[in-house]
This record gives sequence, C-alpha cells and structure tokens, in this order.
Amino acid sequence: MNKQAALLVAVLTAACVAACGNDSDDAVTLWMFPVIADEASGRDFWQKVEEGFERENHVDLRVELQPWASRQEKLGASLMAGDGPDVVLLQSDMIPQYVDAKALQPVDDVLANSERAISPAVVDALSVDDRSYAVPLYRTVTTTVYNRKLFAEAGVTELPQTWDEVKAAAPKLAAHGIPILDYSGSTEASLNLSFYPLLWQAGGSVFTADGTKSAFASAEGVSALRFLVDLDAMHGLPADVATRHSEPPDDAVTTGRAAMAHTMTADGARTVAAAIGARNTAIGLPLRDRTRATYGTPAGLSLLRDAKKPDEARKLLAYLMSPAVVDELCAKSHYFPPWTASSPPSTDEVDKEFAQALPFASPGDTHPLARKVMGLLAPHLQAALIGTTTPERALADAAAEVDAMLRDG
Amino acid sequence: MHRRLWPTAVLSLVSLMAVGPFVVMLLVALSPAGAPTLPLRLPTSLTLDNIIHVLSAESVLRWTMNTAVYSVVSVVVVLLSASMAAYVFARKRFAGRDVLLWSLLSTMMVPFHAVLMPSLVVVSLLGWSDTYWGLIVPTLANAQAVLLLRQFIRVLPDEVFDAARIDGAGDWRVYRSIVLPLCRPVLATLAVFVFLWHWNDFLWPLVVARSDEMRTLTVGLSTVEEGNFAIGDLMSAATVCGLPCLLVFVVLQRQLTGTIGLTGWGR
Amino acid sequence: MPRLRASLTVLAFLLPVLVLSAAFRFLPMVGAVGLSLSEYHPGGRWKFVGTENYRSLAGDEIFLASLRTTVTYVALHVPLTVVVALGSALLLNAVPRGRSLFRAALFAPYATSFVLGAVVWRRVLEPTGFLEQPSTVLVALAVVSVWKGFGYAMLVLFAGIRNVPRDCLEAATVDGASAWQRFRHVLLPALRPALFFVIVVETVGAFQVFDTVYVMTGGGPVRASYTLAYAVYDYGFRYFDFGRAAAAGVVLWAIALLVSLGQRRAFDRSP
Repeated sequence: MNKQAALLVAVLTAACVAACGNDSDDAVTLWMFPVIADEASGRDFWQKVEEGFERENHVDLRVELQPWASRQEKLGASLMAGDGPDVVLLQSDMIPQYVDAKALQPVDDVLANSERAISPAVVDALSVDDRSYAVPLYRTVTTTVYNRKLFAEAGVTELPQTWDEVKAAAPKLAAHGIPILDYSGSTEASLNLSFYPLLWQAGGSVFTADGTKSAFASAEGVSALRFLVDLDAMHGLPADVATRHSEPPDDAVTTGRAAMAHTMTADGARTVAAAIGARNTAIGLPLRDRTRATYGTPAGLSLLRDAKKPDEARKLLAYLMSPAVVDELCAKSHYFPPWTASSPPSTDEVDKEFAQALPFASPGDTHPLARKVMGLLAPHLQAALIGTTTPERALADAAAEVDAMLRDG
Repeated sequence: MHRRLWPTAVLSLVSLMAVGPFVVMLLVALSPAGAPTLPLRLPTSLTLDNIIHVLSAESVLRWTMNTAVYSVVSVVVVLLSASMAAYVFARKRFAGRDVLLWSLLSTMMVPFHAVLMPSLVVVSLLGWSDTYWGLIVPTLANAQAVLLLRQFIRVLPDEVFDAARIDGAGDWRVYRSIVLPLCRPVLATLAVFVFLWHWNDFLWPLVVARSDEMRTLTVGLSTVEEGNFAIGDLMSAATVCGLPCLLVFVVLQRQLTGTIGLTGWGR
Repeated sequence: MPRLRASLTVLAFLLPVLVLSAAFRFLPMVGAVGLSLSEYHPGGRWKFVGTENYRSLAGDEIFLASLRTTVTYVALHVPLTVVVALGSALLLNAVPRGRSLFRAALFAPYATSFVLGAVVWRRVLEPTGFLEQPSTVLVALAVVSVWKGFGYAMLVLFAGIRNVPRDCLEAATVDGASAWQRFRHVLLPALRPALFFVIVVETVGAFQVFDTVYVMTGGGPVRASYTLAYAVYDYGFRYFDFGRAAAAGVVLWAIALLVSLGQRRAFDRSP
C-alpha cells in the first residue's frame, strides 16, 4: 500500500511540474491566420518576421498561427479568460463589433508614421468614428470567374459581363443542365460575397448614409433580388441555392457544376484553374448593372485593449506595417498591398487580372450591427428564392425587422 | 435456408448505405488533384499524393502524439472513474442517490457553446492554459459514461454479488473482480466512443491550445488546409483522422462481443 | 463503525467523478448562468442586468420559433434512431456469419469526421431539393444525423441484447413462443435499461443539435432548421451577445432536463 501511494504521489508531482512549465510571459503575442497558403512558406515568413523584430527591438515576439475555422469562438473565449493576444488580425467587417464592445485600442499614432501612403479607402474601412483601430496589412479583391469551356459548349461566345448578358446566356446553359451562376444563399455565407455586391451593382446600399436605418428595400434592392429570382426561375442558380454555402474547393465552379461565380477570391480562382484547367478559366471584371462593383475588404492588425504589453505591441505594429514586411506578405499571400499606388502583389497572371478589379472593390457599409443585419436579412432573401414571397415583400419585411433592431440597438 | 439468409441480406443493404459516403470520401482522397470527384464519377486514377501532402505538414507527428495522449488518457480515466461511480449508483443505496445522479446527468444537457467560455476561464484560473492538463482534465467528467455503466451493472444478477459478499469480499474486491470483468463488453464499447469523441474533437482543443506544440490533429490540420487546395486535401485530412478510429474499433471488436449468460459468469 | 465505513466507501468510489464534474461541469454552468444574468461582449466589461436577457428571449419570435423547431427535430430524430439502431442490433445478433465486418461497416459513419460526410450528403441531397424546402429540411437533417450517429446506440443495444440470458430465450422457444413474442416479452423488457440509456442520450443529444445544422443548412431555409443550440451559437459568436446566448443555453438545459426526468419516470423505475 505504501509503495503504491508513494508512486502515485511521485507521478502526480512530476505531472504538476511538467504542467506548470511553459510560461514565456515576456513575449509580445500576435495571432495570425494562414493568409499564406503554402504552409512551409508561411512558417518561414513568420519566423523571419519574429527574428527581424526581435533583433531590431530586443523584445521577444511570439507569432501564433490560428486556423480560420471557429476563430470567433477562440478569440471570444480567450478574451473572456484574460488569455488573449496583444495583437490580432481582424478583417474590416469585424472591427466595428469589437470597437463597440470596447475591446480595441485606437492606433492612429502608429498609422501616422507610415513610411508609405495608405489608400484612404483602406484607412476608412479600418476606422470607426474617425479613429483607426487597425494597422492595414492587405486588402482582398473578389471578382468574376468563368468556366470558359462550359460557356463554349453551350454556344455562348461572349462571356457575360452585365446582368442582362447573364440573363440572356442563362437559358442556353440551363439547356445543358448547368446553372450559370454559383450563388450561396445560406445564412452562414456572408452577404458581402453574395447579395450585397449585386445590390451595389444595382446602385443601392445596405444602410442609409447616417447608418440609422436600412436602405436595401429600395427599388435598387428589389431589382437585385429580382435578378436572382428570375435567374432561379430559368434554372440559372444551383438547385439548393437557399441553403447553399459554396466555398472552394467544394464550390460549383471548381467542381464544374456552374459556369461562373461573381465574387471569387484569387485563391478561389487558382483552385478553379487547378481543377478545370487554366485554359478553361477566365477572370473578368466585376459584373455591371447600373454600375460595376464588387466586394474587397482590407484586413489589419488590431491592438487589444487588454494587451499585456501595449508599448511593445505598438512597436510590433509599426514593424509589421513597414513596406518591407507588407510587400513580402502580399507577394506570398497574393493579397493586395494597402498603399495608394497599388500594383499587383506579384507577377502572377491571376494577380494581374485581379488587380484590374481593385478599383471597383468596396468593403461595404461597416456598421457595428452589420452582422446582425445580415442574420435578419438572409432568411428573407431565402424566402424569396424558394418562392414563398415576392422580392418586394421579402425586402420590406426584412427592412421592418432591421429598422426595429437598429432602433432598439 | 431462406430464413437464415434474410438478416444477412438486409444487413448488407444497411451496411452499404452506412459505408457509401465513407467509400466516396476515400476515393476522393486518393484521386489526383483536378480529377473528377464527387459524387458519382469514379476517379480515373488513384494517387497517394494528397494524403502525403497533408501529412507533410511540419508538426503532424507532434499533433498526432497530442491527440493520442488526449484520447488514450481520457479513455483510461473515464472508464475507471465512471465505472466506480456507476457501481455505487447501481448497487448502493444512500440518501440523495438519485438526486446526485441526475444532477450529474444534467451537466450533459447544457449546450457546449454556452459553457465554452466559462470552461476556458476555469482552465485559465488553474494556470492550465496551453497544457495537457487543461486539454484533458476538463473532458474527463463524463456523465453519460456513468449512466451507461450504471444501466448495465444494474442488470447483473444479484446472486453474483451475494456470493461475493458471503465470501467476505469488500467493495473494492467486488468492483475489481466481478463488476469490471462482467462489464467488459460495455467497457469496450465505451472505450471506443470516448476515444472517438476525443480524437475528433475540434472546438475544445482549438480553444485551449495556444502554441502549435499543444495542438491536436484536427486543429493542426485545419491550419494547413487553407487557401489553394483541392478537395482531395480535405478528404485526405478526414481519412487521416478517421482511419485510426476505425482501427481502434477493429482492435477492440472482440471485446465487444461478450455474453453474460447465467451459466457463464463464473469463468 | 460499519455505517461510517460504508459511507466512506461510497464517497471514495464517487470522488473522482464528483470532483471532476464539480470543477469542470458545474462551475462552468454556474458561470453560464452568471453570464445569462449579465450583458457581456467579448473583450468588454461585465454588466449585471438581472433577468433582462430572459425577458428579451421570451418576446423574441425567432427564439420561440427555434424552440418549436428543436422539439420537432427531437421528435423526428429519436424514434428514427431507436428504430434503426435496434433493428441493426437485432440483425447483427441474427446474422450467422460476418458479424465483425457488418459491425465495422455500420459503425463507420460514427467514426468519421462529420464535416466531410456532410459535403457528400449535401451533394446527394441536392437534386432532391429536400434541404431547400422548409417543410422537408428537418426530416432530411434527421436522416443525415441518424446516419451519422446510430452506430453508438446500435452498439449499446447490441451489448444489451447479448446480455439477455440465453436460458430465458431458450425456455421461451421451448414453450412455443414465436419470434415476435420472444421479442416483445423476453427481449424488450430485458433491454429496458439499455433502451432507457439510448432514449435519454439521444434525446439530450437531439436537443443540442448544432453541427448538423451548421454544416448542412446554416439554420435555413428561412430559419426552418434554426434550432436552439444554433441560436446559442448565433447570439454568442455571430452577434457577440453572450448574455443572451447564455440565457438561451440555460433555457435549453432546463427543457432537456425536464424531458429527461419525464422519460425517467416512464422508463427507469428504480429498485
């Protein structure tokens, strides 16, 4: 009995010691996401960043790579446990929510010292109430990607660039059993990538200028929704459009089951090219109705209010936003740099085509309740898509709910 | 003849339906990037490239070890602790027994997303963030396992226990020499499930691990499967994750078919 | 002293589970209840608001609809799982050969990561349109989740079947009982403890259904599959309203507990 007890105590002690190790509380922590697709290349890059920063500033840096999946859960849980990082990468549509919760510190001072001029649109997108809350790292662009072969097989010679052209070509593709446009109607799919670009192309917007009421139930909004509903009636959208959440590599264009997508990222375009052949892939400008518009969001590094090492973190922000780091990151990740004079991040063909869409990219209306609005609007769009209501009614109902929500905060 | 064939026939059908998607998954994992994939066109050639690509991430070995420790330790502790508690709930009477049991069971009725953050707070307060302790220990309280074992211990014949009592055996002896052996099929079943739950767990390991060295396979692979990849990679990751589980199951198969006839317990 | 000794023994056997549960199940639950009485957004500060979250939920049509949706889903999922699992277990018991192979095949869906099974299932269900219509989406989701999860119940019931004393069955056969009578009067009563476990666990699990909904329909179409657990996730991690999310979680917990206690009364009479 004694021997067993002694052994148990020994094991437990050893275990405790082993468990309690591991505290490098002296480091500034940065949470990064896999923006560089190639794992090995990404690791090398961030290691270089760590070494470079530590050499220049004599401060320990720890870059922790987190998966994209469930990042809200991870960040939320860590913040609540007081275990969060000092600096984290945030996309522009996430920032207003965190600012509203008072989770971020403004970083205007760091931005003011930028070596190169940053595009005003980017600065704007990363600001709330005229204060900047993230140091820009890159901007994304989405645009139209086509499967040339499917169009050719259906006898469509010119790739459609406007809504009318899309609607004209849809029946021909439908005759071959191919929906022309891959569209995701699921509430899990961000409206920024599905409905909003169409709304913008029709000339409409989500919020009124002062952000107190909704503006999507306008004639423009109805026109955009009607475009989708009409397409669906012609079998121009995938059969499960209302609950569909298309994401590469399982999206319809990559798997050859739709002819085009209107908001694809460069990575998505590459996946398509890898799947159906580069020769069959065409990258075009964003679609046009009344105007040409597409979604493109800047992302930047934010300083958390509960950062344990805020001064060092500011130095880190300055270091990371330097052109040397930003340009290399963009070259490797194929995202676009945030400078005013913007050139494609690399000489890659795909990047050059996407650069043409850059002038038309917008991050949309950033509003702290933007995601809630999406959650309220998306089911109504679904209702219109499955035919239980008309586009006008769907948008009107959604507007009523959204306005009530905006009123009550 | 006819009577003995129909269970096999029906079961074959059901098995095919159960296995179908899995087979498709395996085929996709083995097909070269860009080959026609789901769901009804067979790939024209099969390669191991995708699986190799997924496995060549730098820390895969470490992640696999973490996951193995996570799963195996959990199985051992859950089986031991749950069977001990189940024995008492099944065979002992004491004040508040059922209230206690159902209080324990009620802990499995709260949705995980609601307790995710408070759980991390508790782990953090203990200083166990980013350690094996923080990863494993909170998942060891498994009320379901207690209920399962309690149900099975309850139906063990009283004669067995009475005989042991007459022989002068104390509770620990009874637990070790009678309850555990007789429950072997259920314990094996439970072992498989607990192993699986832990091996495939994503959200909790994601939230607890800060550094790459503490990640489990599911979390680690999700940092690799980003950006420009073909569906082959995704499926490969799934295959890589799923095969060990199936292996464990196969290994424990024999234990699952135990029988306890009235004439058999003495063996 | 035997009384004290007996109590200490009981305590000793219960201790590991009790300590672990107290620290890592009860404590977080208390934390969740505390959250439900507060206003909290991640990175922000706590603010005690009493029962405001609960009152807000009571008036929230979306939340109330999610209650109805969840109950419907449970009513679909549990009987289907029990029937399929019991049927498979009986068949497994009846096949003369190849039991291991069949068991591995039937268990395979349980062993695989769901996200990828979902990709395949979505593709299979796409032409049928079952995931598109509010009237059929819950049925489709129930089928998929039964496919994924029945292996668990099947193995438990199989173990239960193997536990039935051979002699009883043999005696019944000798007495001239038909297969159906043997099933109803010998097997089924003997399976009651195992069945109770399966029913309770599947019910609780069905009340908490999240992964299936998240991956396959995102709560749609038009919130036809917007379950309670999905609402907890939505309120918490999409809208950052953790107080409300926690309150929804507590409501879910209370309902699941009430239903389970009701099932206990019906199925689990204690000696």
